[in-house]
Amino acid sequence: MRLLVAISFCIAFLLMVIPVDFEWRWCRPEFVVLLVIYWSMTSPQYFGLFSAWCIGFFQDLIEFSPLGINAIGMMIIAYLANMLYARIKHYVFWHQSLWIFIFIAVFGLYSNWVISFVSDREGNFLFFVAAFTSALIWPLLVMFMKSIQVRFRLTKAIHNNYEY
Amino acid sequence: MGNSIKLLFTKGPSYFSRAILLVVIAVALLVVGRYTQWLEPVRSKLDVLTVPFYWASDIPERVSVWIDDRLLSRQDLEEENKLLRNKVRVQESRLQQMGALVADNLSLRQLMNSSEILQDRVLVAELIGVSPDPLVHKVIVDKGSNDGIYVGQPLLDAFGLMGQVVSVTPFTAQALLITDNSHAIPVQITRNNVRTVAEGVGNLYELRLRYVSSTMDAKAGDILVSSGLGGRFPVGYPVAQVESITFDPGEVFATVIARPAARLDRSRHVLLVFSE
Repeated sequence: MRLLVAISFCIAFLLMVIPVDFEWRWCRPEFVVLLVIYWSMTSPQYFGLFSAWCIGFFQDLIEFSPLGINAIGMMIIAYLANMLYARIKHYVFWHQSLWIFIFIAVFGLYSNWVISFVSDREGNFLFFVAAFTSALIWPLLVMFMKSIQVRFRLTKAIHNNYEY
Repeated sequence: MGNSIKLLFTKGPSYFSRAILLVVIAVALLVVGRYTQWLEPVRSKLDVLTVPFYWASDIPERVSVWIDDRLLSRQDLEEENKLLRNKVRVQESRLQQMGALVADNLSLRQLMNSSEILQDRVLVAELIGVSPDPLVHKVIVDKGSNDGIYVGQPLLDAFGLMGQVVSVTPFTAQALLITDNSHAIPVQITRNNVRTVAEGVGNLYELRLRYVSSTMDAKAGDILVSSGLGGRFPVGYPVAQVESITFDPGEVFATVIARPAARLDRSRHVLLVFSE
């Protein structure tokens, strides 16, 4: 299971750095944040705040942002996900997606806010685009991760589509 | 009561205090990174960890380049060859004039008592990644300190100046593009040698000239070249072309927008200049 967590994050980071056109870069879903949410909801025993911090730190390195921004951001998201998972995991997919939208938007808002504090850059509200695409991709991510876990006997089979 | 029961089962520092500790560490990193340069060496060491991801993300591009190179019809190759030959012929005829011009230039410079113009040594590199964060305009090239790349080195493409190296690992280097929000480059207009500063605004197709008084002689279409005043960029490389000028009587300075000469979003092959 730990291996799966590690591999999934490697793939997510890879997806984050795949070069895309400048105009389309705003639309890239926040794959890493999505995985942080997924793992802190489904397997908090393997993925705690410290892991979230480390993942965020690595994201800082890979995105060239000031060290520490994503580290705190990921911790906040992991904490929120951990706090709300009992409620959210029983929702239908579109309802979950709505929550994911809120999570990612909170993350984007937070990053914008801190970046304008600690660097000379100014953010803008295009991070809502990424929040939207992330919310769209969430059901796919859940189904994919779940099918992999079932395939490798890491969890019991899915009994209904909504619960994971 | 509930509290005391919880305490019975706690081992070591509690969940909450550990979380606070992590946040404090991150905030400390942010503050130190904001006000000092202490984190830079650490960061350039840690950047090595990110190299495999950028390298792997570039694989599809390399494969497609490889396929383009290998799978070509004979006819295409012949045509390309013909085009290239023609191009070489034209360039050679230009070069002949260049010889005379260089000699002229040299004697003029001697008349003006200025130093000789040096031929810059360059190294060809390939881009292997661009920054994933749309707010940060940085690229990663496949040459690093093992190839002699150093921080502050100018980066060019075939059309103009792209940016400068800001951090190196043994195998790769990060370069900040001239359009980044935090970048500014001293330039001059070729038509009349007026000097200004071109600043990035976070848009790949736009630079802005700073502190242009409304009486300054600048026109749309003017070519801006690096002036070499900052001591970082060599003199005379094309930087941008002025696109529009707006004089607003209410403002102290005019708004001058220029378009970068380099193809910042397209160039894959870049040159790193060694200016001794």
